[in-house]
Amino acid sequence: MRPERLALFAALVALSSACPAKVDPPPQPMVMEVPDAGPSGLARSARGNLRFKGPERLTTDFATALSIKTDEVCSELGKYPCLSVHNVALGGVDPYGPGLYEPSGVTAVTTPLVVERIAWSACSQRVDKDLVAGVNAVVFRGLPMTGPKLTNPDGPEVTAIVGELTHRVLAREPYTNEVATYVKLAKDIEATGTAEPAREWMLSVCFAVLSSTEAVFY
Amino acid sequence: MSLKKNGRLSRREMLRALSLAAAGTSISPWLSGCRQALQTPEDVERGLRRDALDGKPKFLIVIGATGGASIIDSFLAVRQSEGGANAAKLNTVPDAQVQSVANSPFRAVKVDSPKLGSIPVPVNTDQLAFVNKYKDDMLVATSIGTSVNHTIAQKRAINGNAAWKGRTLQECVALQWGQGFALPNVNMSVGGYGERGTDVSLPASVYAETVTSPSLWPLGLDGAKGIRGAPTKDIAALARKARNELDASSVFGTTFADSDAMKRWNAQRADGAQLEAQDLITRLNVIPNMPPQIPLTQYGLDSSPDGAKVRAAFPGFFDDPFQGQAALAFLLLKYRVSVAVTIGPDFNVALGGNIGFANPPLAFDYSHNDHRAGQAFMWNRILSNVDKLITLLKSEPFDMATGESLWDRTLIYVATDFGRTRGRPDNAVEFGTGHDLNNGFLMLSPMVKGNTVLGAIDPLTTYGYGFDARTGAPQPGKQSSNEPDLFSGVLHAMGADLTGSGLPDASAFKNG
Amino acid sequence: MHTRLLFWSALLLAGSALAKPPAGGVFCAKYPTVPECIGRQPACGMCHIAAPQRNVFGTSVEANLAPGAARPLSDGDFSMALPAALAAVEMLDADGDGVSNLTEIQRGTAPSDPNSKPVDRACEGTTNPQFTVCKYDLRYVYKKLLLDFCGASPTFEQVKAFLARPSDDDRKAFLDAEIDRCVATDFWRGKNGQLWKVAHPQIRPVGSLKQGEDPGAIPLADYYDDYALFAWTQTDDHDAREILTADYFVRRLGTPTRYEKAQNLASQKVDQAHRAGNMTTDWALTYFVMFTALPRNAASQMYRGYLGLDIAKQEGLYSVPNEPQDYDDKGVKQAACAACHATLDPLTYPFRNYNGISSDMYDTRYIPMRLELGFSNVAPRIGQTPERGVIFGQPVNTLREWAQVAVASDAFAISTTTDYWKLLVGHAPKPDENAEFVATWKRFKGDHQYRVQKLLHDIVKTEAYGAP
Repeated sequence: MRPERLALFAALVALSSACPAKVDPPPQPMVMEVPDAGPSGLARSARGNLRFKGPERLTTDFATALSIKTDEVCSELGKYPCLSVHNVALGGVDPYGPGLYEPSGVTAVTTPLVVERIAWSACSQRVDKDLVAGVNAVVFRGLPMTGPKLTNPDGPEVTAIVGELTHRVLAREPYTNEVATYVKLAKDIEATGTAEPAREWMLSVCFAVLSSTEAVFY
Repeated sequence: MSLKKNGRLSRREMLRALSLAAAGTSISPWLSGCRQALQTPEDVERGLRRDALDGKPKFLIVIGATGGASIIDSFLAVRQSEGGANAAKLNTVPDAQVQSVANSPFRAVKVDSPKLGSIPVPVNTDQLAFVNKYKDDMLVATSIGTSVNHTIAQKRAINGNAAWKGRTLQECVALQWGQGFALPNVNMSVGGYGERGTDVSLPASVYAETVTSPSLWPLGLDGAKGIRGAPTKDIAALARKARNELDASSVFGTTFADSDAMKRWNAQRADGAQLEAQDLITRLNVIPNMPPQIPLTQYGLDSSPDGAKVRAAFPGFFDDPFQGQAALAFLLLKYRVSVAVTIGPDFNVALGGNIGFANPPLAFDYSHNDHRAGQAFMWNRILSNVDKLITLLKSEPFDMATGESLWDRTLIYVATDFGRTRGRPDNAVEFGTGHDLNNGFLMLSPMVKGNTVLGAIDPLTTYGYGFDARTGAPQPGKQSSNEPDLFSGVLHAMGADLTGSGLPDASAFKNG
Repeated sequence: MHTRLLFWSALLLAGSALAKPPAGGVFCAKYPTVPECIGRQPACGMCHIAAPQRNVFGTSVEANLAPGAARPLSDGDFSMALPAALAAVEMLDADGDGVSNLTEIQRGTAPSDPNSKPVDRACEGTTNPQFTVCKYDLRYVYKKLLLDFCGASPTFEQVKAFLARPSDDDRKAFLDAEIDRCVATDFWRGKNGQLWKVAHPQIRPVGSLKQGEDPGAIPLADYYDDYALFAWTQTDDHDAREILTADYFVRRLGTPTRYEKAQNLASQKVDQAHRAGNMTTDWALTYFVMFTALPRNAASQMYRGYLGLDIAKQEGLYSVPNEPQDYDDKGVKQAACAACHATLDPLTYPFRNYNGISSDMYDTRYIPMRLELGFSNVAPRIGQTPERGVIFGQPVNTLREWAQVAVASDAFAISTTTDYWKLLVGHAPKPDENAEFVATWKRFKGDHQYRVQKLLHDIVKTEAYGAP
C-alpha cells in the first residue's frame, strides 16, 4: 500500500471506530421493477442513433455528477489533464497541431480504456473526499462500516448509495437488478480479502455507473 | 503543467525535463519497476500471437511526405548539363551537386544554402551517405498522379486511386497479416494520409486507430494502471463484470442494442483487455521516468524496456512529432501490436534538432517559397528518420530460426502528394514551385527489387515517363496515370494475396 | 423528342455554359424529384469508384450506353444516350442487395453499394419505460439538447421538473427556451466551443503560424478573427450569409464570450471595398493564397468549405466554354486537368488581385494589377488573367459579386444546414432523413432568411434528431 493510501486507511479505521456521530444516508430511491417486456421483448430503437459524449461533455458530466471540479476529474501523472492527453481517443479534434479538423465520429479501440481511467480517477477523488468528510460527505454518506468493511451490504444504506449514484449519473431511479448486482458486488469484493472492501466497493459501484454505456452515450 | 489558453497541453515543463534525456544519456536508473513482468515479443507470439506467428507477419510503414516530395530533387535528379537548351529554365541541378552513386542507377543531391527561404537557418544536406547505405533495398518508381489537391492526392497515394475497392494499403496489409494483432493499423499522419478507405466491407479491426500525440498516447492503453486510487486488477475486473452485465440487460442497452455505435463499443471493450494483457502502457511508453515533471514510477508506471534505445535514436521524440511517431512506430512493430503504421511530418512548424528547427511550415509544400532548399531540407528530414528506423528494425530479431530481422519483413513506402512544377526563372537557385502530377515514389525493403529505378526521367523536360509494371521495362512517352501500379507494387513486393483484387501485375517491384 | 428534351433541360439545369459531360445534369433531368437531385446533383460516386473506373451500377449503365457506338462518346452523344441507358437498368439490382436500381435511386440509397439500401423502420417489441421508441420523444430530446447545446446532461431534479410540466406544448416551449439559453454559453459560442468546431474545416488553422493570442513559432496571421466572424454570423439574429459577404470584422471579448462588430482591426489589411467575409481575411490570404499567382487553392477551399462542393471530387462542376485558358502556364489544358479546371479557373479569376505572402510582395491585401506588378515572371500571359470570373455558370466581375452569387445558391443553404445536421444529429443526412433535411434547409433559406439560431430549432424538431 502506498504511503498516502495507508494514511487514508488509518484515518478511515479511526473514523469508523471513534466517530459515532450519525450521518444520514441519501434518501431511499424509488427502486423500479425491471420492466416486463413480454414475449416480444423491450421495444428497440430502429434508428440506433447513439452518440458518444466526447471529451468535454464526458468530463463535465463526471464532474457534475460527483460534485468535483472539472480539473479534478482526471490527470495523468498528477499533472497532465486527461481531457488534453486523451482528447482524440475521446473523439475530440486537434485542429491547431496535427490538423485534425473533424472528429472521426466513431469510438476508437482505446476509447473504452480511456473512459475507464477517467472514471476511476473521478471516483477515487469523490470516494476519498467523502471518506474523511464525515457529515459533509456528498455521495458516500451514512454508510455503516465496521472497520474497513461495510457493516451490512444488504442494508438500506447501500440501496441509498446506489440510488444516489443513479440519480446523479443517469438522472433516473435505479432498477431492482441494479441494486441487486451492486449488493452482490460488495460481497464479491469482500470475498477477495482486500484490505479496504468498503472503499473498493464505493469506488467500484461509482466506476460501474460512470462508465456504463448509458452514462457515456446519448 | 497546465492547459494553455487555447485549450492545448503546454509542453514546456515536460520538455525541460526531457532535455536531460535528449542526448540519449544513461537512463538505466529509470528502468525499474515491473520490467520483470514483461513478456518478450517471442513470449507474446507463443501465446496471444500464435496465429500471426504461424502466418509470419509482414509490416508496412507508410511515411506521408506531406506537401510533395520531388523525385528530381533526390534520386532521379537531372544535371544542368543534361538538360539541353532549356536547362536554365527547368529544375535541373548544378552538375557538382548531383552525385553519382557507384553501381547504382540512383543519384544523390547535395545542397548548401545559408537559409531556408525566408527562414534564417542553414541547409546543408547530402543524400549520398543514405543512398550508399541503402541502395540495395531501394526502389524508385516514376509516377503520374491524378490530383494536385493535397488531401485528394495523399489519399490516392495510399489507395491507388481506389485501385482495390477503395481500401488503403494499410488496410490491405492489416487484413492480410494483422489477425490477432491488437491494433493492426495505427495512423499518426494527417490529411489524406490519415483518412480511412472506402471499402466498408472490411472488418472494423483493419481500419486505423488514429494517434495524434504519440508520446502520450500509450498512457491510454490500460483502464486503470497509473491512476492513483484505482483498485487492484481483480477488484477492477469485478467492477467491469458487474457493469457489463447490467449494460447488456439495461433498458438503455436493450433499446440501442442494434446500434452500430453500441456494437462497436462492446467489441472495443473486449479489445481493450487485449491491450492491457500485453502491458502496452509500459512497452510503448517512450517517455522516461523523470520526477518531479514525469513521475512515472510514483504512479506505478514505467518507461518501455526499449525506451533508452528509442530515445537515443529519436532524441527529439517529444519536441518533433515526426520523431515521436517514428519512435512509436518501431515499438508498435517490435511488440507485434501493429502490422501497418503511418507516420509523417505535418504542415506545422516544429522546433528542435541540431539547428533548432525541425519542420518548416507546409513541410515539402514550402517549395512554393523556396523549392531547392525546401526539398533538400525535407528530404534530409525524411531520410534521416528512415535511416534510424531501419537501423532499429535491423537490430531486432524477428525469427531466430531463419535469422530474419524485423527489417527483413518490413517495407517502408515513402508516399507523397505529387511532384512539383518544373519551371524556374533562368538559372535561379532560389525559386518557388507549384504542384505537378508527374513525380516518383521511394520504397525501401529487402522485399523490393533493390537498386532499381522503374521508369525514367527525360532530362530535356525533367518529366518522368512510365514503365511496364510486370516487366519493369521503361516506356518512353508513357504519361498515363499509374496509381494502381504503384499500389499493386507495394502489395506485390510484400507478397500479399491479391486474389480477386483485379490489381495489375506489378511483379517488377518484387525482389526475386 | 423526349430524349432531346431531356438533353436540353439537362444543359439548362447544369448552367448556361456547360460544355463537358453533364452526367449529373442528365441524371437529374431524368429523375428530377429524387433525393440526389433536390438542390444538388449526384456526385461521381453514383457511377464511379474513381473516374473513369466504374462501380457495379456504372458498369451496368455503361453496358447499355449507346451499345455499338465508337468510344469515346462525345459529350453530346453521351448526354443523348444516358437517359435510355439509365432506363434500361432500372429494374436490375446492380449491387445485389435485393432492391432494384430504380427503387434505390428513388429512395436515395446507393445502387452500387449492398450496404446501402432503403430502411423501413418498424418498431419492435411492446413497451419501453425510458424511451418512446420510433416517435419524437421529448424526454430523450431534453437530455440530448442540453448535452448538444450546453455541454452537460440534465440533473435528476431537472428531468423531474421537466416531466412535471403541465403539457407537451409547455415542454416544447421550454425546450425552445433552453436552446436559446444554451447558445449564449461559452460551450456553444466561446473559444474552442461548438461553433468553432464547425468552423475548423473551413478555416483550417495551423498553430505554428498563429499570430496574436496563442502565437506560434512563425506568427503570420491571426485566424481567431476568422472564428470571430464565423461565430458572429451564426448567432443571435445575424445573417449567416455574411460569412462570405461581410465588409466588416468581428472582435471577440471577455468571459462569457461576446462578439462585436469592428470596421477595422489591426490584424486585418484588406480595404473595406474589397472585403468578402472570411474569404479575404489575413489568414485566408496568408494560408490559401499564400505564394501563388493564381490562387486556385483559395477558390477551391471556399467552394468546398462554404458551399460543400469539392472540385477534387468532381463536385459542383459548371464548365465554362473556352476554359481553362491556362494564363499561368500550369498545363491545365491537358484533358486530365481540363474537366475540373474549366470550372475551377474561372472560379479563381476574381481572386487575382488578392495577395498572399510571396516573398517578392508580402502584403495580404487587395492590390490592383497584382499579377502585373508581382508575378510577371510566372508566365507570359499571366497579366491577361481577368478579374471577371464565373460561379455556378453566372459571370461575376469581382470577388464580392462571387460571394453574392455563392450565398444565394442552394448549395450554401445545404452546406450550412449539413454542418449543423452533422453536429446535432451526428451524421450527414441519410436517405431516409432526406425529406426532413430538404424541408429544413429550404426553411433556413426561405422563412428564416439564413438565421442559424432558427435553423437549430428546426433541426431539433426533426424526427432524425428527436426519435430514438
